[in-house]
Amino acid sequence: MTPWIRRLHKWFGLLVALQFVVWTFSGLVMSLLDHHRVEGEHHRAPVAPDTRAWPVDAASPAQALAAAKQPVQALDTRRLLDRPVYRLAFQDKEWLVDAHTLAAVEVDAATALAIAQADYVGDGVPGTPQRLDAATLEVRGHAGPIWRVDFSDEDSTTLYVSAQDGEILERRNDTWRWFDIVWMLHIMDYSGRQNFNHPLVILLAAGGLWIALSGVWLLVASFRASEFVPARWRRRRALTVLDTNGTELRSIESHDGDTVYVAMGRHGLQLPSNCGGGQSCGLCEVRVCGTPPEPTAADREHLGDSRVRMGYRLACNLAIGDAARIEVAAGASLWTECTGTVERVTAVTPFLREIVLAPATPPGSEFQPGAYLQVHVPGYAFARGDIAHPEHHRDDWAALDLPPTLANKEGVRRSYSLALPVEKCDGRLTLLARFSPGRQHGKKHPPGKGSTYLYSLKPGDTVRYSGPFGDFALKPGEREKVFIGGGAGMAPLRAMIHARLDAGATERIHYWYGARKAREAPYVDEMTALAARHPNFSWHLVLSEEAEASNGLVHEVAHARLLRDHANLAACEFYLCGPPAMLAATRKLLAQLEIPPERIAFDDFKI
Amino acid sequence: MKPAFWARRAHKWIGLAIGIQALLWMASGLYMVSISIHVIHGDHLAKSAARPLSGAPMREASALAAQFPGMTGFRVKRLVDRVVIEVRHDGRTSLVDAVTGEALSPLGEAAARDVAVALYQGKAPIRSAALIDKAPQEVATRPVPLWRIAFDDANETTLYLSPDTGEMLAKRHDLWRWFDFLWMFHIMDYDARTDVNNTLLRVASSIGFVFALSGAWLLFYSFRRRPAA
Ligand SMILES: Cc1cc2nc3c(=O)[nH]c(=O)nc-3n(C[C@H](O)[C@H](O)[C@H](O)COP(=O)(O)OP(=O)(O)OC[C@H]3O[C@@H](n4cnc5c(N)ncnc54)[C@H](O)[C@@H]3O)c2cc1C
Ligand code: FES
Repeated sequence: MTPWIRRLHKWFGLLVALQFVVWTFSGLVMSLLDHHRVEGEHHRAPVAPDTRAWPVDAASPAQALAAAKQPVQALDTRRLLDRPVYRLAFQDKEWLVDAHTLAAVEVDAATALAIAQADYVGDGVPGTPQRLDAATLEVRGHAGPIWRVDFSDEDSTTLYVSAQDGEILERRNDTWRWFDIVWMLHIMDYSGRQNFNHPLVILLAAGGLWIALSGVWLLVASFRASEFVPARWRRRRALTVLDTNGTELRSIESHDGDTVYVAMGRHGLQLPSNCGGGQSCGLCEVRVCGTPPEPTAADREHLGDSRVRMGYRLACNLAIGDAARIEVAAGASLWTECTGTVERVTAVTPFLREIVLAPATPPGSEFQPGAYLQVHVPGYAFARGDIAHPEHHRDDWAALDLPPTLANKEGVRRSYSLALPVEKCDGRLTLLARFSPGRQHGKKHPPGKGSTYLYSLKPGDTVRYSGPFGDFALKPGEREKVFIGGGAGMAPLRAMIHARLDAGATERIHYWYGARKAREAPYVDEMTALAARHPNFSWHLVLSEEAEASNGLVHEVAHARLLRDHANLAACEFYLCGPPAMLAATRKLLAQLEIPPERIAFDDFKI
Repeated sequence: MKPAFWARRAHKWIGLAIGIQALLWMASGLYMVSISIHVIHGDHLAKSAARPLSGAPMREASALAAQFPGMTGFRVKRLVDRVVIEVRHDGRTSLVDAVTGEALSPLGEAAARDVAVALYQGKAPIRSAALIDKAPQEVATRPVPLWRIAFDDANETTLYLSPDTGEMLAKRHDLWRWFDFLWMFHIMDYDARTDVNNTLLRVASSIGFVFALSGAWLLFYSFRRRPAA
C-alpha cells in the first residue's frame, strides 16, 4: 500500500504544492496583520451615545411616509452631522429627508467630508471627496453612489461614505490592502476577492486534504519512532559485519534509528553506492544473518525476489535494530582506498573510452571478470576544453551542448566494471567508460559527474578507488553461453569472454551486442579477430539505427536468429549487461522462453 | 549528505510538529469552501419579507416623547402583522404599537413565537422557546437577555430574537455550528473562536509555511530524474 500512496502523494503534491505554499504564506500574513488595524479601528473616533432629545417640532413619521410617494419598509430617525433627518429604506435602497421640511437631503461633497472627519482620529489630512457611481473593489458589496475620502496619514487611510444616507461604509488603509491581497490568494478568487465557494478552490482544497491525509499516513507508516529521538538518547546497537565465508570483519556500535548503511559509514565501512544511501542504486546490498525484517518495496525492486528470500536487503533501507549480524561480499574493500596511475586512455568510440590503470598495489584474485570498482570521484571544476578527444571524434563532441565549465562540488563514488581480465594485462585495471552528456534537449541536465571526471583523465593522473565489488560473475562449468549486451555493458561481458577463451573453453559462446550505429560500436575488430581464432565463439553486432535486414533491437535479433530455433535452450547460460531498457526487454524475453532465473546473470548499470 | 536528504529530514521533522494541524487546516478549509456561505448564513432558513408600511395614522413624535421622556430617536418598522415603533431613550430601546402606543416590550413568549414563526421559512414546529440570560457560545457576542426559539427540524434551526425590539439577532443551524467549530480549528482560537492574531496561530502558521516550503523543496527532488546508478 505504501508505495502507491507515496506516488499519489507526490503527484497530487505537485499540483497543490504551490497553492499549499500560498495558503500557508497568506495564512501567516493574515495572522500577523493586526485585525484591529486591518479594520481601521486605530483611526476611528470613539462614538459617544447620542443624548440629544429628538425635536418634537419635526414633521411626524406619518407625514414623512405620506410624503415619500413610494413604498417604505422602515423609517428611522438620524442626525446627519447635526441636522435631524429621516432615513427611509425599501429593499436595498436608502434615502434621507429633512425631518422638518421633508425635502430630500443630498449627501454632498462637503457633508461627506465632514462625516469622514468626524469619524477619523489621527494626523492625516483629508483630500477632496471623490464621488463613485458604483462600488469599487475596496467597497465591494455596497450599493452606490459612494464618496471616497483619502487621508494623508502613514496608513493611507480611505473612508467611504454612502452618498445615499451618509453612513461610513468602510474604513480602508494599507494594512487592509495587504490583507485583502493575501486574502485573495488564500481564497483564490482573483477577480471579486470575496467568493470562496468556487470550483477551483474546492478542487485544490480537496487535493490539499488528500496531501495532508496521505502525509500523516506516511508519517505514521514509514518512520520509526526512534528516528525522532536525538542520537545520544537512543539505545546503542551492536552490529557484526561478516565476510561471505562467515569470518568476522568488524564489530561496530551505533545508535538506534541509524540505517546499517549510515552506521557502517560512520565507522569507515563504505558500502558500494552510486546514490549515497537514497535507496535508488541497489548497490548497497547486505545479507542479514538470522531472521531478516520484512522486505520493503525498494528491496524487492532492486534485489529481486530470490535474493530477498535469501535474506539480502538494501543496507540503506535496513534499520540497525533489525540486524545484529550481516554478511557483505566486499570484505576489506569496504575500508581500503586504493590508488592507481592512469597509464593509457583510448577513445574507443566517440563516447566510450578505455582507461587503463596501474594499481599501486597488485590486485588480488578477487578481481574477477564481472566485478566493478568504485571510483572515488573528487570535487573538481575544469573547462569544457579540458576534455581531450581525437580529431576524428571532433564532430561528435561539437554536436553536444555542454556547459563551459564542468564542475562537481563534493566527492561521489561511481561504479565501473573491469573491461578485461587483470591477468591479461599484467595486473592492470582496464575500465570502459561511457560519457553521460546529460539531457541535451528540453530541460538541460548537467553531464554525469563520474563520467566527466573519467573523461578528464590523462596518463600520469592518480585515481582513487575501492573494490572490487559485485556478484556478476561467470558461473563454474562448461555450459553453452549466450552474452547479450549494449552500450557500456560491453565492459564486463568483454572481460568474461576473454577470460573464458583464454582459459581454453570449448563450450559454444555467443556474443550479441547492440549499438545504434557502427560508429558507436566498440572493439569490433577485436571481437571479429577472436571469432576467427576461436571456432566456438561467434560475434554478432546488431545496429538499431542502420537499415539492413539483419538489424534491429539486439534482443529481438538474437531471438529471431538464435534463441527461437535453438535445440536446447534449457542447457544454456545467459549473461546480460546494457542500458536499462535493453536489459528489461531481454529479461522479459528470457522469461517468456521459460529460462530459469538461476541460468541468467545480469548487471544493471541503471543508466 | 545530499540536499534531498536534508529536505526529506526537514519535512519529516516539521511534519511531526505541524502535521495534524495541517490536516485540520485542510479539512476545515475544505468544509468551508464546499458549503456555500449563503447556506451557512442561513438566508434560506429565516428572513423577513420586505413589506411596505401602511399609510395608517400613527403616533406623533410628541406623543412618543411624552410617553418616553428623553427620547433621542425612533424607528418605525413592521413586526409580523403590525406596524411598531422602536423608541430609543435613556440608552435603552422600547417597542410600542405604532397606532395605539401600547407597550409591547419586553416581548412575551407568545409574541416571540409569533415573530419566529413569521421569519422561519421551514415547515417544522417550534420545539422550545426560552428567554435566556446567559448567551451560549454560538451567540456569544449578542446582548442578553435573548429569546431562543428552537425549531424541530433536522438542521436544528435556532433563531435568537431581541425581546426589546423583536429583531432577529442570529440564526443558527447545524451546518453553521460545524462551520464555527471547524473555524475554531482553522484559526486555532479555542476560546472565543474570533481572534485571528493569536500567538498560537502565528507560530503554527510560520511553521506551516516552512513546512510547505520544505515539501516543495522535496518535490523538486522527487520529480527530478532519479540519479541513476
Ligand atoms: C554495477 C555497475 C557497474 C557499472 N559499470 C560501468 C562501466 O563499466 N562503464 C560505465 O560507463 N558505466 C558503468 N556504470 C555506470 C556508472 O556507475 C555511472 O552510473 C555512470 O557513469 C553515470 O554516472 P555519472 O556520475 O557520470 O552521472 P551522474 O552524475 O550520476 O548522472 C546520471 C545521469 O543523470 C543525469 N543527470 C545529472 N544531473 C541531473 C539532474 N539534476 N536531473 C536529472 N538528471 C540528471 C546525468 O546527465 C546522467 O545522464 C556501472 C554502474 C553500476 C551500478
Ligand atoms: S546506497 Fe544506493 S540503494 Fe542503498
